[in-house]
Formats: sequence, structure tokens, C-alpha cells
Amino acid sequence: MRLERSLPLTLIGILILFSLAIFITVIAPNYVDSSWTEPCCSYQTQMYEMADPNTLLSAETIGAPLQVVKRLQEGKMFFAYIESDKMKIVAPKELEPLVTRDKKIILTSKLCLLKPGKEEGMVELYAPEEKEVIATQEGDGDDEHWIAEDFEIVGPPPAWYKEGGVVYFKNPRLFEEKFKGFVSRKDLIAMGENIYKTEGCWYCHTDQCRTLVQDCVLCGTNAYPAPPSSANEYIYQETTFPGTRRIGPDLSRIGIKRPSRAWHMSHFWSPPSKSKGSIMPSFQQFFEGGDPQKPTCRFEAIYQYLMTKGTRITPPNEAWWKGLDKLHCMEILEGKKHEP
Amino acid sequence: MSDIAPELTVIQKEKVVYEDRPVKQMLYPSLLFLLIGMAVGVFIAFNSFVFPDFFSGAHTHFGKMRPVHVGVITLLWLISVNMALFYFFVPRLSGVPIWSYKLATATNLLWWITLIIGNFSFPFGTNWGWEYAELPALVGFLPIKALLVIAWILFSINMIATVAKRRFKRLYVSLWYAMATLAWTAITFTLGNFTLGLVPGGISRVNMSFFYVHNLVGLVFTPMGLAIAYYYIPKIADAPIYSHRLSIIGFWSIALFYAWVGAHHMIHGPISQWLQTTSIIFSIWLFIPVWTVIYNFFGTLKNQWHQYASKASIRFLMMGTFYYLVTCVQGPLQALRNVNEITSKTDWIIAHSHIALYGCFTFFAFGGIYHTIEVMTKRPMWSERLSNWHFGMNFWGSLLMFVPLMIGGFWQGILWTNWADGYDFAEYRANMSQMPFLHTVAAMWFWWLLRAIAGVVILVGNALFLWNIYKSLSFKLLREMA
Repeated sequence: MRLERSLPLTLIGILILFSLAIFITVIAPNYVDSSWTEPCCSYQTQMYEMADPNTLLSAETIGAPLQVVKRLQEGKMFFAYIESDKMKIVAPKELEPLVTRDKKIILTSKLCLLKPGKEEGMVELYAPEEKEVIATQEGDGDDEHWIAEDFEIVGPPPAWYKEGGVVYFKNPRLFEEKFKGFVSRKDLIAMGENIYKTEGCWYCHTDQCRTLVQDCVLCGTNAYPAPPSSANEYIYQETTFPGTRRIGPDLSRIGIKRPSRAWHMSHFWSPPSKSKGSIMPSFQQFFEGGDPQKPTCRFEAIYQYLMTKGTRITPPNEAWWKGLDKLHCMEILEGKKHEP
Repeated sequence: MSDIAPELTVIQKEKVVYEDRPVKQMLYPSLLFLLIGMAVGVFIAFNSFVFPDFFSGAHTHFGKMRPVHVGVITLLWLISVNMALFYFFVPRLSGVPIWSYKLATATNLLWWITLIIGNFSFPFGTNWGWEYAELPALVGFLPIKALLVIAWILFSINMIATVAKRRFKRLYVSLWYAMATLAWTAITFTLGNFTLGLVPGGISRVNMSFFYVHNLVGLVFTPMGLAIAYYYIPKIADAPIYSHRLSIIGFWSIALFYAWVGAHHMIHGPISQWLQTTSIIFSIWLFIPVWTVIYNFFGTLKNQWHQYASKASIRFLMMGTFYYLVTCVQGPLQALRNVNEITSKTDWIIAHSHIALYGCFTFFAFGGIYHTIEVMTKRPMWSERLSNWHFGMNFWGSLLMFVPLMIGGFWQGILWTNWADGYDFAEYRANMSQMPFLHTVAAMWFWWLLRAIAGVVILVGNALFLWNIYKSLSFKLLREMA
């Protein structure tokens, strides 16, 4: 067996060159670029880590609208008990400081619930015995409440809270119906990511708004351009699908561009019915018994996954889709301002 | 200028009997998968693009069929046939038979079972989610990816041991590429398939994935293809390679530059600017190895071009060389930011990837297969006419595929820049209302039709190839496969 000196030298040479490339292009960036591992904003963190695992959805009752409830935990999240003209809150003396009766919102991590009062238009505030309850909150379905200023925290905040805006749960009431078939939004999003993966959505769609004017226009709304994608939008994903083809349009801001559940139901059932000329195949396997009005859990999963795109890069008070974004995309696109 | 390697011109005094059964074990099934993979491609070309969703359903749509096409072509055809040709030329360049026939048979069996199960499981929902790493970790209880790694390790052991026991002192460049790719493939495959979970979620994994994707092209398929071309071109033309020195320059420049270009798949994307710029610079440097290869192969055929007319194998090898030039000029240019803005995410990229894997590496394999079969059967191919038709249909089919996709893809990229025309956002939006995304999709239909027709021409041409091979073999040889 001939083993010349050139063999180990070559092998070592190749390994050194390869390792250098790996180190500089694959390993080093994780330490050099903080945007690869840091969140966009605390809204994103709170949504993924606090709101999603504790928002539960169910479609058990056929024909009835989707039910959304929250799993509320004492001391782990913020609540607000806000009075309004139509609804007066009656609270026992020890819970009185927690009630918001004027403009400044009072937030607390103490879990209380509302129940119907003795008269019309009155509710009573009480502290439940359990530390964890299933409740419905006041608001639009599964949207979250967010506040960044003009608020006061009464009592100790949750351990994770440092400063800045918060997601809070408003006027929770105990959920007293049958608790069956609920799946957390976090699980639905994970399921949706898995569907996106195995159905191969990523072969036709990209999930990146590039730093190009045409992308910001394509991914934006009628009124405002979308900010280009940054690395910290993807940190909560198990698999990230930047995409290498745009046979179909980019999806990175689809949660803002196409938020309607009904639109997606029709679109998945038959894409050309909503997008004339679309070559996207139909996904009728997301529906039960051949009925486009009966979406399955898999539909809700892919829908919830799509709704995370573009909706969590800025908190609602700095919403890019309302032109409030810090990046001043509009001005950069119009050449009126140079990038920082 | 050319130093002639003694091992290519010396007349052997002792007759070595080469064990070619492993060649057949890998070659014949790979040819079947070539047809299957291309047939799936033609199906997709029609069912997803020309008559979209004609055959609708949960298992036949693009997202489910594309990984089948890609997996069958890249793994069950291309890497497999490259391994078959390695089993042929590595022993011959070493002057000794393959180190262990039994190991080769076991390796090949494991290889086929693993890949067949893995690739055909995609329509049933097993995609792993990362491009070109779609093979599932598990199908049922079978650890597909792990078994594949084992098969590759066994293959590597056999190759390395064969070279270690060689009779010829000097290592020709094909052996350099062959040995190097064993290591590069193992490391690359590991990084792309097993270590993604070790880095944080998000762009870190994307970056690693594109590192993997590009190394598949540059450090797996390229060395395998070049090793094959470097062996078969001089062998079939019966002319020495133009320059050994140039070939080694090519080798080391590939080793140095290829691994740094992964991020060029994310130009303008959510990835650090310095990483993008690094990848662009190294992509431009890749002009160097390309040049050495083209100069070397064309130089070898100097004064030998009459062979282009007489031998289909030479035609395939030289046309493959031409496509290598095309794809390796496209590549670095596509990395430039302004070119990338137009070509990226369009069908231009599909043309580029097919020029590389089909126009170049598949053509190289075809050239090598003709010679290999003629040596193994000890006679010429059954039909020279079918060989010529094989080349003709592949040549014209390839042009009909590449040119429309390049035209259509580039045009679509240009159309998209319409949304950046104007002075303010209102104008951009107005342009978008006038030409929404779906209009740019509609503009592609005609080019997609041409591509689908090309696919049929190519498929039929390769069916003729298989028929020619079948008739060239005697049944005695087929029985000797095991």
C-alpha cells in the first residue's frame, strides 16, 4: 500500500480550506449579527411565547363560528378590567385598585374574572380560587390587545416583564360551556408550518420581502410599502422557507395583505375563484366531506401559520401597514431619505 | 505544454481483470430512474404549468411531485450513475480491481433500497422541508438519512482502499476529484441534514441550508462530473489530456472558492450584507476553475474534432463541456446584485439548474456510459443510428428547454421591476394595479409550453438510449449482474 506524503497533506489542506469557509460563512455570522437571534420587538416575543400557547381555538360545534378562548394564569400575564358606558364594574374593596375607570389603563398580573351583575349593564369583579382558568375575553375574536403608553401597573408584574408595551387580556369571563376539542394557537401554528413543509408550499412561494423597491410594493398594502424582511422575523420558526421561486407571490406579509379567514377558505378550495388566472392547485383536502364551508383543523392550522407573517414585526402602535413604522420605508422608497 | 501521464499511454504487460459487476449494479437501475425522473418532470411540466391542476388531488400537485422529480433525478439517477462510472474508472486508473466486490454489492443494495423508499414517500407527506435535503429522517421505522450515510461511508472505504492498493504511482486528476468528493460529500451531507437543529432557528438555519445546497452543486456533483469527464474525454478520443498542471489548478481553485458562495442564494434577502458581498466575490472567482476545465477539454480535442462527427459519446462530452461553460458563466454573473435582481426567483434559475445537472453532468454521464458499455460488452453499441438520434434529441430538446426558460424567466424579472418605476409610492402602486402579479404569471405560459414539449422530446430520446443499451447487452451479461 502506497501512502505518499502528498495524501495527508492534501487531505489536511482540503479540510483546512473547508473549515475556514464553514467558520466564516456559517458559524461566525451567528455571533456577529445580532438580528439573527434577537427578536424584532417585544410584541413578537409576547405573541409567540405568551399569547399563542394560551389562546385556544375550537371548531367543535359544526355550523357555529370558530370559538376562541384564553387560558389565563395568575401572575404570568397582564389583565385589564376596563369599565365602559355600557358596562359598569362592581368590585369588592380589595380589588378596586385593579379596575380602570378613566383613561389611564390599569394593568395587573392578578387574575380576576367578570360575571353578570345584579342589574342590566352591571358586572361584578371577583378573584377565582384556581390559579389557571379558561376564559373568553372582550375583543374581536382572536385579536390581541396591546398597549404601549398611558398605562399603569398595579401589583407585581410577571417575571418576564422588563419595560415597554404589553399584550394584555381584557375583561375576561369564565368559559362555562363544554371545553372540548380546543387546540392552542401555538400548536396550530406548528401544525401549519408542518403542512407548509410537507405540502411543498415553499416550492412556489417565497417568504422574504427583499431589499428591493418592487418587493416592498408587491408585499405591501394599497396604502403603504412593506418593510423588507429582516432576520429576526424568523427566529421562532422550526423550519424557515425563504423560497427560491416565485411561481406564486411572496407570503412574508400575507397576514396583513390577506387577513380574512373567509378569503383563505375560498382560495384554498379553489385558487382561481379568488385569483383569476392562478395556477395554484386546489387544496380540498383541507375541507371535510367535500364541503368548502367545512374547513378542518388542518385548514385552521395553515391559516394561523400564514397569519403570523408580517403581523409581528412591529407592535400595533408602530404598525407598518398604518404608515407608523420606524423604518420610514415610504420615504426610502421614494428616495427622500437615505438608509441609516 | 502537456505532460503525458505514463499510465494513460503505457501498454500493460499483464492483463488485469476488472470486476465490473458493481458498475452494472449501479448503472442499469440508474438508467431506469433516469426515465422515471424525466417522466415525472414531463408530468409536472404539463399538470402544474400548461394545464394547471388538470389531475388534481392531494398527491399529484406540484408541492408533492417536485421533490419526487428532483430526488429521483439527483439521487437515483445522477449520483448513482456517477458512482457506477466511479466503479469503472477508479480501478482502471489505479490498475487494480475494486478492493472488495462483496462490500460493493452490499453498499449498492443498501443505497437503492434506502433511496427508493425515501424518494417515493414524498407524495405521502414526508418532506423534511429543506431544499435538496427533503429526504425524511424516518419512513416508518427506517432511518433513511442515516442509512444513506452508512452506504456512502461503505462506498468511500471501497474507493479509498482501491486507490491505496494501486499499481500506478501518479494520481491522475480524476482520482483527485474522486477522493476529494468522498470527503466533501460526507461533510456537506452531514451539515445540511443533521446539524441544522444545532444552530438557532431562523436565518442561521437558512444560511446553513444554502451552504449545503451550494456545496451539493460545487463539491459533490461538480467533482464527480469533472472526474468522469477528465477520464472519458482523453480515453475515448485516445488523446492525452491537454494539461495536467491546469487540471490541478482547477482542482485547488474549486477547493478554495466553492464553499464560500452559499449566501448568493439570498442576495437582497434578510441576510447580512457582508455575507452577501463575500459570496459574490467568491462566486466571481469561480471563473478561474471553469476556465481551466474548458481550456483543458477543448485543448484535448485539438486536431481530433473529426471524432465529434463520428462518435456520439464525444458529442455528449463536448456538448456537456459547452454547457458547463454556460452554467458557470451564468452562475457568477447571477451573483451580481443587479443581475440577481432580475433573474432570481424566476424560471431563469430553473434553466440554470437544468443546464448544470442535465446539460452538463447528465451529458457527461451519457458520454461515459457509451464507452463503459462498449468496454464491458467488448463490442460497439447495437445501433450507431440510435446513438446519433439519442444525441440529436437530447441536444435539440435541451435547447428547446433552456432558451425559452431563460427568455421567459428574464422577462418576468424585468416585468417585476415595473413596480419600481416611478417617483413615488402612488406611482409604484398604480403600476402594480395595471400589471398585477398574476399578469406576469400569464406571460410565462407560452415558455412553459415550449419547455413541456422539450421534456417530451428529451424523454423519448432517452427511451431510445435505454432501448439501444438493452439491445447492446447480451442476457448472459445481465445474469452476471449479481
